[in-house]
Amino acid sequence: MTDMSGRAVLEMKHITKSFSGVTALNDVSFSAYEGEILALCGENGAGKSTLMKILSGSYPEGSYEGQIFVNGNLCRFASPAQSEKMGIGMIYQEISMHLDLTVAENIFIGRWPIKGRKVDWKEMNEQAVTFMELVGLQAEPDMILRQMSASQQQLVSIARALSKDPKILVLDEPTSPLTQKESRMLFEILHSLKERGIACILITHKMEEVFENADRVTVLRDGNIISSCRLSETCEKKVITDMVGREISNYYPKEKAEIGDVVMEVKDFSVPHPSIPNRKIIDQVSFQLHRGEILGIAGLVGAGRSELVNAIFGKDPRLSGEIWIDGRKASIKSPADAMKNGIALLTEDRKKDGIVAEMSIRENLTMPLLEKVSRNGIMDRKREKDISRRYFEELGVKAPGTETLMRQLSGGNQQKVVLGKWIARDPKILILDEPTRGIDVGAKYEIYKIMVKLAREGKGIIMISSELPELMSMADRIMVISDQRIRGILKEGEWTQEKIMELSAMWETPVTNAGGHES
Amino acid sequence: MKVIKKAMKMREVGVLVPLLLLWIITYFINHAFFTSTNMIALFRSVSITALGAIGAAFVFCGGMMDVSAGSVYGLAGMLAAIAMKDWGMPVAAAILAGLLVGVAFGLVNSLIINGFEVPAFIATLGTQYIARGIVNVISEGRSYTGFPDGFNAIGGMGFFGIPWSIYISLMVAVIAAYVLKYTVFGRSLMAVGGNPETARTCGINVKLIRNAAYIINAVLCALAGILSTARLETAQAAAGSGWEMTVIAAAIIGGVSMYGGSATILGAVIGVGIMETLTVSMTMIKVNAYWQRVVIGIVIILAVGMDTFKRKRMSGGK
Repeated sequence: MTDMSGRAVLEMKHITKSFSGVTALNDVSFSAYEGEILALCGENGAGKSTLMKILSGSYPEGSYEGQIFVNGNLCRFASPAQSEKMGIGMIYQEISMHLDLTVAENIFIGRWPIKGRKVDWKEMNEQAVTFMELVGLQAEPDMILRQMSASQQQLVSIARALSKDPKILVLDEPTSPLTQKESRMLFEILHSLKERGIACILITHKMEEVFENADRVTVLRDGNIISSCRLSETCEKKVITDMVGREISNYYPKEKAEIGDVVMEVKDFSVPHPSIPNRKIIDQVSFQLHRGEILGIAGLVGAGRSELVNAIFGKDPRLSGEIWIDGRKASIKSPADAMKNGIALLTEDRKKDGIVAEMSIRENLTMPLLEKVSRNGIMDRKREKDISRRYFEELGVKAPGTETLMRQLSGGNQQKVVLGKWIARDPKILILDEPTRGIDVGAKYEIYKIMVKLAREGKGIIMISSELPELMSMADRIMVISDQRIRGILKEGEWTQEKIMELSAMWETPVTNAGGHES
Repeated sequence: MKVIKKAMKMREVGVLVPLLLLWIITYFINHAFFTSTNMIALFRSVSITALGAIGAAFVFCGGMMDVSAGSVYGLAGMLAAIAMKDWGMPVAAAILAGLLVGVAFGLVNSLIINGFEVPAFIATLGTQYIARGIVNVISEGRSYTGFPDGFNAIGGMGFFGIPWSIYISLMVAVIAAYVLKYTVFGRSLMAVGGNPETARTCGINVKLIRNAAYIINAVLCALAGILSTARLETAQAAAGSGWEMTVIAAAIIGGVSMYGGSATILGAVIGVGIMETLTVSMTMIKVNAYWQRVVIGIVIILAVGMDTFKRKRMSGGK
């Protein structure tokens, strides 16, 4: 492959793994060198996670073919503990932390400093501070994780991985819970780790991350290595082409739709903070949404974007505020009320409140339309089948059929089903909270296409996204929220990444002086 | 062939096989097992316990739990008895009073769990004590017998020498299976058990669905208590003690998941068959009654263990 000045700290040779007859990895060989950032790219289901699970020991020796060499020594990992011992650290996409323990406890869990027969708390907190500083986490070591934001929690998980002194650090989509600013900080950390000779393997969908940070990029597709080269030898378009195996001519299929009248107006909306009592996360927010418009919402994680739309949908409580739909005031106290008023919400976290994993595609698709596929409380099986089949095909869900269970689908296909169930309701207003998070390029593109089609049908669409290029390419207007308020609504041509980031970073109220409840 | 293949794929088959094996083994040890008297006695026990297991299936399916079943069973039977004996109420009114115990405890359980958000296990453990306490208070610990013939007849034989309780239970099972599979309520209950947050986001009234499941469950337990009182022609203060564990175990053995979102009524009924056969066959092969409890305990742990294992395997492999 490529000539590297560094030494190969990790070599995985001829790895083949199959699940009940289906090949997930086919004779994959790949290496990582001392002091490099290697980007591992591929669509969902390409085999990245499987490969990393073999490396981490989650799939023990014997459940696959091939060999792993760390520093030239053949390793047989029977468990994650053994892999960790060899200096392999993993940071997963979904944060797996103990929410009711402190930062220090989370970092040193299972390896508490001992004095006599007791845990030495003082020592533990002191040591924790060292690693917290390393990742730039500003908090107290005895803070309970539940009180911290998702991004802070992510930093704790990185601190934990670093405390084990890894030689090889695997990061699986580490920036998905992070804002752009926090992501940049994370990459600063990675660069400093790289200086210290650590090999960082970065699994990501975000091309900017790859091209700004990686030294090399390896692309996996359908369990095969498609390409592996230095960054200078490739370009974004080539990596994407390798990933999907086809040319994406127009990355964002945005087409202008005709912008109509105001379909929804939100007035003086205030939403309580979900975890901090007597604090607002959204304060006196008002805005309008037009027919045929895609209104983007930008902001940092924790700015209250999701909380705002969840409150509009009646999913979370609100302190005050009115919703006007087609010029009439709507009373929305529950998701059922919002649905009656023609609103649909695709939530931020699919697994948490988007899907029922153990139910079929059909049952998931018709969940918000039970009254449409039943008569007098009895399910109309034929109608249900027809409707679910129709949206299954329309959304291009890749699965054997509508009876396939949701848990068997990839993230992108699950997302299509979740989107499908809301489209099937034919809503006037469609709110999409991070609709393309954690899904592959191909599925993203298809979701963009659906959005454009819906806008052309005259629906009002709200799109929350942390990926600025996506927002700037898809939205007609972008509303930036930070520190409880709208900091600006930008039209096409007015926005730049810098401008949006600047508005997102506007924090004026000191944390201690925030407003209280006013119900 | 196709029918057989399809049948083999049904998850109830996995439970039916051990039941049949159990029957055959018991038969070889004691040939008296397959006599009509014995089979009718077995099926009669199954029919009454099955009502509770069907109730448990509804509760589990919605991702909940109920340990007050045995006490509700006891209280309903006792109240019906007292209504007839002490208050001189007609049979039909007494049965209705017993069923109302179910409605009342279903509502109380729902209110505590869904209104005050007390964990289901603790809430129903509390109502288990409350209902059992009320049984003892109103009966002053006495047993009641000598009910009108009309009442005792319900516990007796019906058409073709088959007990009425079997007809009743069969009817309930068919309706329950239909409700679970073919109604909006059943689908909503599955969704609520599978992922309550998703269900709520889809406009399903999660609390209402859960309350309904609790009420259905408690009414079925009350019905079982009344049928059992009629069959034994006696109401005892201790009736139904520990019954909640039998129905929970039966439901789980039958493939109803403790974790919600998955239930089969047929499976639950077969599970009851296994539990009741175990008791009968252990008695027939003269296993000491104390040891019987040990065996039942082991069976419960195995059943829950299998359920947990299945869950893990499903969520583990992609």
